[in-house]
Amino acid sequence: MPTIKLQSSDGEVFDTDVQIAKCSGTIKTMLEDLGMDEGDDEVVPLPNVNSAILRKVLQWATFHKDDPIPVEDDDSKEKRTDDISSWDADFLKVDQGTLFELILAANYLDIKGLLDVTCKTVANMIKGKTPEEIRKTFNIKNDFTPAEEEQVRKENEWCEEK
Amino acid sequence: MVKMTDRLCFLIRIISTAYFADPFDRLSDEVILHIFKWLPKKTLLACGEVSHRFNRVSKDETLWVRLDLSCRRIKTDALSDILNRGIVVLRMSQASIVRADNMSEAEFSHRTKLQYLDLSMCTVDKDVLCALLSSCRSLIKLSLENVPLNEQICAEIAANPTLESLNLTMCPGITATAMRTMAKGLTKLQSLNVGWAYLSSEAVTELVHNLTPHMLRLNLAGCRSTLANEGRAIPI
Repeated sequence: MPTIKLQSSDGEVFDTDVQIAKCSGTIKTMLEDLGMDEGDDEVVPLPNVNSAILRKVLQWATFHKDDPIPVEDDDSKEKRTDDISSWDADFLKVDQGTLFELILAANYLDIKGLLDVTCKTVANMIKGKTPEEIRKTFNIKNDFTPAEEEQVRKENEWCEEK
Repeated sequence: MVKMTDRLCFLIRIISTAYFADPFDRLSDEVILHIFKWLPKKTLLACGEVSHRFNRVSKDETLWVRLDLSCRRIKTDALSDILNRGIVVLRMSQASIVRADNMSEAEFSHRTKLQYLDLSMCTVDKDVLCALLSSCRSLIKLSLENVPLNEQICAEIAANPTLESLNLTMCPGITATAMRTMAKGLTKLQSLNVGWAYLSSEAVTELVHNLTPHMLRLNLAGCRSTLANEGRAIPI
């Protein structure tokens, strides 16, 4: 099976099955644009992903390598977040820092499936919470003045009626 | 000893930055949008109250394409604010639209992006409805089932030449003039339901004479008593 070498930001080299590496749109384009052929000994540098995260990403990509190509989002469909597979749910039982690192990596590497499932997981952490609970969950600083906060709260009042 | 303390401080700083930093700081607005798009509208509004940045991103047009306010009670000023977010599909069946306390006249200042509007069995004053419809110029589908109309409202409906489907079932107030304005203005109409809409024979005649050739489905149920022979002769 042809492989290529991926190098993480901290210098670790991962020998990776080409088919798995290509589930990253970024790597796929790189390979095509640079005319890198399978079997070449060149190393693809990924300066935005450290080895711990790259290892996780490759683990995810290996499990999902036979998934159908994700289609573009259909806006007419109601967005669901309760359809995360149990494997993905287990895979994403990580600390908040790692989860956000995975989002950054999925976005940088252009892996739609991984970006969707990580973003859904964060969405599930936000869902149903009050503004204060959301701030607490993610250590977000409240940068509203009391007057601004009152203003925004008022704008949203319509949702509470009836 | 001093060195140890320094190193300890350094470690604590690293750990605390990792643990107590806002992880969203590292994400672009685009990625935050990716997260927000999975949230229901109510949580989206809560997000708008979290911080300035969350507020800005939560108002992005792409998050507000469709909104369901069915069976809700909503004030005109709030509705105007919401529509300004760029809503394209709005369901308000059985909702009540009430005038804002501080407004004598209902105002929908901006041109809305509404294309699909369902106001079936909605409780709304005629002038408020007229103001709302006057802010709509690109409707494709409109339902006003069982909502009382007048000529002014019908003229606002007629000003949406893109309209393809119009449901006016059981709507009182469609005069012959109103019918003519709509039949002439709505040249792309494919489906019209005026069943049990209390149409006079004059109104039916106006409809029949000005009907667009694009019409595929016409429902005149309940108009039998006012249907002239001429009307029946038009094969649909």
